Amino acid sequence: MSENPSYSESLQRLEAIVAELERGGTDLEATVQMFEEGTALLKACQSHLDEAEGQLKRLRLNDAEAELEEPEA
Amino acid sequence: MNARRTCAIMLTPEVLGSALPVGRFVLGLRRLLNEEPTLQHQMLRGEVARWTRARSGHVYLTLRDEDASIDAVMWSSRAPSRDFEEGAEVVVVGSVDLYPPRGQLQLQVTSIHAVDKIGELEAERRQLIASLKAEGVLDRPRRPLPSIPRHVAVIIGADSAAEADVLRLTEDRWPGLRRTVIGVLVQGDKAPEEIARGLRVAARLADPVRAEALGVPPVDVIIVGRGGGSTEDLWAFNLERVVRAVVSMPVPVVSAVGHESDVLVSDLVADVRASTPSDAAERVVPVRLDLDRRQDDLVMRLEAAAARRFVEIRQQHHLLRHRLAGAPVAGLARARTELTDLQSRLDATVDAHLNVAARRLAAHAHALQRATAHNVSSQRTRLAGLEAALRTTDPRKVLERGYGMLQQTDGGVIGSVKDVAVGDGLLVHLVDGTVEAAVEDVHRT
Repeated sequence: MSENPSYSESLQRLEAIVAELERGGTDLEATVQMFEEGTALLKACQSHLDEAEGQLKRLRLNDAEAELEEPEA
Repeated sequence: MNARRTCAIMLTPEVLGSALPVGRFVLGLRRLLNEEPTLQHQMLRGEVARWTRARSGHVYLTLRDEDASIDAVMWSSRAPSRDFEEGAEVVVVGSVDLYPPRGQLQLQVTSIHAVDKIGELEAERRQLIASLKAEGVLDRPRRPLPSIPRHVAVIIGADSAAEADVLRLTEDRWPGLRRTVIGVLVQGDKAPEEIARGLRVAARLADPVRAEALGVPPVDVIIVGRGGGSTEDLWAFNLERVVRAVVSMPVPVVSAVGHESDVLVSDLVADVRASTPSDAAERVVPVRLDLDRRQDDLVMRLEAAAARRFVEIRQQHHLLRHRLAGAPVAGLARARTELTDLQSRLDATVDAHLNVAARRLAAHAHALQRATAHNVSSQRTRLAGLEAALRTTDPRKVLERGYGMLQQTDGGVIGSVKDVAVGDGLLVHLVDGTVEAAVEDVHRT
């Protein structure tokens, strides 16, 4: 996994962890570790989803170009 | 005198009886024309000599070449949106008909095409495809679409039906998704320039530095397209200016032009070809509710599986305490004290984790109550199943999986690496007996 795993990478890892826990037989330490990693992965997945939400901008071409130039001015 | 000359025939009743009424003659003529296959659905080439669009929407035109001319009509349902200028070279498809009230012959035209322009443009298009092929552009690897688009840019006909479709579909699939929709001209002389400029705006928004200055995540996918139209209407997407702009985009581009059957050069170079703008919206934007459900399911399964494991581990320790209580070990009193201590520490650890899991389960159930009723009830069913599973867990089965308890040879219980040193002897109690072992190394975690 890369430094900033993508949504699908996180989800894949999470599914692997859940499957492993569901198989049973992990010791206390491993269970805690997997539970915490799983929780962190869920948080990461959620923040991927949250990041996709934002403004809808509907612009005519000229306005879009003008808006884009503004921060440089 | 005049009367006698025109009435060369004596109008006897017999002669009068054999004269055809004009109406029958004209209608018969019309039937002959309509039944003659070479006069129906004929393709004709010529130039436009007159072009008049009536208020009704019907177009009256005259077609001619150096030898002849013919009047024609295009009913409003067949008339093109654009007007043709006089002198334009065209190919039409039409059928000959006779208009009985005026006895006038006319061509009923069902389609009209500007030949010279199409011929020239088609040659340009082929040449463009050939050079793209030679440059390897057509074979370059296509980039995958992001699984979660953080910022979608859409370059599409300003205020068009296609724009409305994309807006509605994306909003339905993911309410509140971040989108920048840039309305451009998609047909006419200015279309290629506007589409290319729109793409350049999207490319700049895909630049992380510039996006940060604007306070938005960079654009990570671009949809460019328009709704259906005639071949000429869609032509901008066959032009080098637009095609090169698509190729130069720093993030994946979905080309979404016209209908299912229209294939434009922009489709050939884009990372993904969508059959329509609506298809593009569906390919780019996942259904948020599906993602939420999948995550909800994983949350439930993770917490349920972890909780079940914690309970199993606690039960396993209870079992070991009972086994040790009955074991013939020296220093039993001390062992019992230490075991009780160990037991409570382990119970505290396990309980702490169980409490965390329980709190998360509760929080999750609360969140679910705000979601759909269906979802809540299905998750409650799962929770009930989990509870039943927990009640029936047999501690012996846990031990049978290979768990053991460590004990010092003098009877002390080992609950920490601090309790042993290298070289110490150990007793390992298993489900069916005891193993004597020695400490080789100690690692703290």
